[in-house]
Amino acid sequence: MNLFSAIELGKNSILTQQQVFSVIGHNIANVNTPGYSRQVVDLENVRPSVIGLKDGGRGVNMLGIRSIRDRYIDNQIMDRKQYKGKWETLGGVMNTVETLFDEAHGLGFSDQLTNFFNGWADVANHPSDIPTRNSLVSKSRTMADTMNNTFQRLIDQQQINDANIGTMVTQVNGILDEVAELNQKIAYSEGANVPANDLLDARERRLRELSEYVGVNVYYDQSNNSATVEIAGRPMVSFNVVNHLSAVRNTENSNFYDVYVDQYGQPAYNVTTDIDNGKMGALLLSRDGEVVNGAAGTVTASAPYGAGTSLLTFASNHNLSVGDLITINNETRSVISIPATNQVVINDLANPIASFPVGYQERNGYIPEYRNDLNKLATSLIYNVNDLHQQGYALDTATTGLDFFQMTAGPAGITATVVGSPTNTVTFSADVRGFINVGDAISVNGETRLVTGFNAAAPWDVQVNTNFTANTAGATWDYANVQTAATLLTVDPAIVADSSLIAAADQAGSIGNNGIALRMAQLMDNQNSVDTNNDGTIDNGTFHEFLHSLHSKIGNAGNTAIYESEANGSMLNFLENRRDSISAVSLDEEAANLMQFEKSYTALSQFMGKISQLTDVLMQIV
Amino acid sequence: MRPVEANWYRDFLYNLNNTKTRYDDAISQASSGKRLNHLSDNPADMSYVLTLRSKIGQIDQFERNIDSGKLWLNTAESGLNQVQNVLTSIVSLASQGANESNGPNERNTIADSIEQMRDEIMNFANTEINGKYIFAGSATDTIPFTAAGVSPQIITYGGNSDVIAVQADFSIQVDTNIPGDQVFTGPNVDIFERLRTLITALRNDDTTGIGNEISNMHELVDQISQGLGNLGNRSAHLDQISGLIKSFKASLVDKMSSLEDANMAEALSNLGREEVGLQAALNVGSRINRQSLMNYLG
Repeated sequence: MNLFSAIELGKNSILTQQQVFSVIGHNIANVNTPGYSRQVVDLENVRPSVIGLKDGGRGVNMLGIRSIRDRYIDNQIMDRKQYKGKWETLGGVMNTVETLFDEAHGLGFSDQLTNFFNGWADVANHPSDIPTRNSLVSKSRTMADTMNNTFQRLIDQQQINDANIGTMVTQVNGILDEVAELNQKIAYSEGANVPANDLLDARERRLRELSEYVGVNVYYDQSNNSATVEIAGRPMVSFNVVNHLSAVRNTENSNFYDVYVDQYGQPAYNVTTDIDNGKMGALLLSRDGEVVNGAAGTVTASAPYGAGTSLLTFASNHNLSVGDLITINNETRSVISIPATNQVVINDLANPIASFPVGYQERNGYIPEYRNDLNKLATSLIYNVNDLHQQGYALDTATTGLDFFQMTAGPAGITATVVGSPTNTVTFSADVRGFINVGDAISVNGETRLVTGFNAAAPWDVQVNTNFTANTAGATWDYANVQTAATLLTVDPAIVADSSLIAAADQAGSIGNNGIALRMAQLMDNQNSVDTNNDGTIDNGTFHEFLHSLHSKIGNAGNTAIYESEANGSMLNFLENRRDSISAVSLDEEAANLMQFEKSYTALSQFMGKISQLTDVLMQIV
Repeated sequence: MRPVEANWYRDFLYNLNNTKTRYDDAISQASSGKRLNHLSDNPADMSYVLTLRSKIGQIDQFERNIDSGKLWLNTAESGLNQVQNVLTSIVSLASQGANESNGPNERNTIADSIEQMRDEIMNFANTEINGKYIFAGSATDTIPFTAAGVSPQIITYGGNSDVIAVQADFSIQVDTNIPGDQVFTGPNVDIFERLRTLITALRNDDTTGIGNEISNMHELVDQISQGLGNLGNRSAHLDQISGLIKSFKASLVDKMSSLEDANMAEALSNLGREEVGLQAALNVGSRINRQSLMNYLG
């Protein structure tokens, strides 16, 4: 070794130390950057250039800058993010839904339902009192308004979810593009032997964000370190090729968005029922309900029903309600009608079922179920209250057969005939299946009934839940659909205008008779009040019991969401601590490094100074 | 684990948030006095509370029904009591009229008095509450008894035989009226008609007739007593139900309160505890910053 190579050694080593300082600076600068992985410089003593030559060594060299990360924990964090995203979002939605049913403070529908029946008891106490009757009208209207509003707010919440899903699809696509771009940059960078530490951090951050939105599977390619991303089992990013999501409105589901994966060279694939995690999963879940295998197991037959519709027959009884969504071979349809407990009518599938039996999925719970429950409650209220009210007499002691809740008039030209009463059959002058379905309430000749079925051979023969007691020929008729009852629940305008039309008496001719009003008040305790499964038959349970079971569904869903988001939050906190204890910057460590490298820097400088002095000494000889 | 500042801050924030959430809950429990503030707070208890609340709402209504029924029963009872008194006076007056020492003039005067008393009874029989006749059956807008013709006038019943009930309990209805034809013009005797016969006998100086009517007078008194007994029984029945549902309601309110009301002592001590926790957490936060080797670098 000669002095000049010693200067070279000193110079190289000082430059290496300076690079260490710049890495320490980079680390300190990023101490608060989320997802930053600390970088360390790997140093190496310079290898001798010629083996066997006696050499004093050539100083230090930088081998590379390495970022400290643990892919296993990174993956766990990414995985946990999708659950946290799901439950936090669901908790938010459920919180809003709970507020709609503000029962905890005594302002909700439950108390208004009590008030409604108590209003009837007041009328029973003072049947000829106009102020008491007016008060019943006002209590009934408040109850009906609350029902309408609650129902509308549920639809609003579904629409808010839907709009968010649309926005999220765009955001997810943006992230997918970035991941693909980063894949490419990382590959180039590493291909050029430049460590892509900061790019890897950026990609990791994007993947976490993606997971929080939609839940992803990520695989890493060993050859070029690229991340392959899957959503709902569909490839989304493969190196630098991206399949985008698209949001397509679905007429079968209230025109809400379905989410598709656009696959290059193939038809877009519907993944709406497959996305069940992340924020988007929560929004879909609360908007449409949980996707589960159909309760009836399989569909065993399909036959044409009307124009463009099919009648599906199931292996056993289903528990579907009108308006529920079922999915067969990845095609989703809403249930139009339930002609029998093992059959439903849907719009034709685009691809007819090739072989039977075939499995199907249905969606359970959340907002659609809450909506259905309100509709069932409203239909049952209309049925029970109207049927009783029609038997009563108004304050003029003669007018009878009046509706209390308004029903929709049957279409002009179609009339109803009852022959051979008592009978449970009403014959219409035309097919009425476009207007009424099983579970709907119909009112014929001052008697309100629930539709239980249609005669398959003669569909204008309609069966009802209890016998008609009087014959009628060619009468007009009213109905209330089980899909719109909660929206349309209204006190009959004639009664709103004139409360003396409230039928409190069960006999004509006496003003103080309160027979009907008493029975109305007793409806509150009627053990068989609500058709809970849309089959047109009244099931066990009072109105309040049915309502409270709805409340507990909502409460439990909210409770689970809160619990799960707390549990996942704590888990995520733990995982992030794990990750940071490996990857994050410790200022103390950096400070220690600074001191350490400062010392060696100073020493190297002094070494070079000494070499310089020696060189000077040498020069003086000359 | 390798200690890093990021974890200190994360743990600090995470725990601070948890403490604040608990502090929020403690404040809302202590200030609302309620343990259950949302459907999701405890779905099972909440559902029970809502059922209890609807039952309590119903019982409140039963209490109103009973009050309204009691008003009718009490009014009818005091009316019939007056009628009873009047009838006793009529009996003693009629006995005077039967006395052989009285002549036609005296009997006429007595007949006049008795006719007035009969009108008095008719007035009681036409008692109204808030414009509703209580002895008219369910024809509460129709005046039940009207007099027509020349003296002694014939009194006829214009009401009907319907009874009106109130819902006193979940399954019990109690009748709150006695139709006029069940206490005045029936079921055994027509009081007004019998008094008319008595008056006619007095006017006609028909001592045998007077004697007959007097000896049958107890039938009239009995019929009113029967009515009174009826009313008394129903009134007592309502009182009994009222007592029962009041204690039932009290037990429901107790149960509801035990489910939804916060235990104040516990709520306040929780609040205190969370406050201390919050203070401590904030203190920790202010210390994190001070501990760093960086402070010692020149």
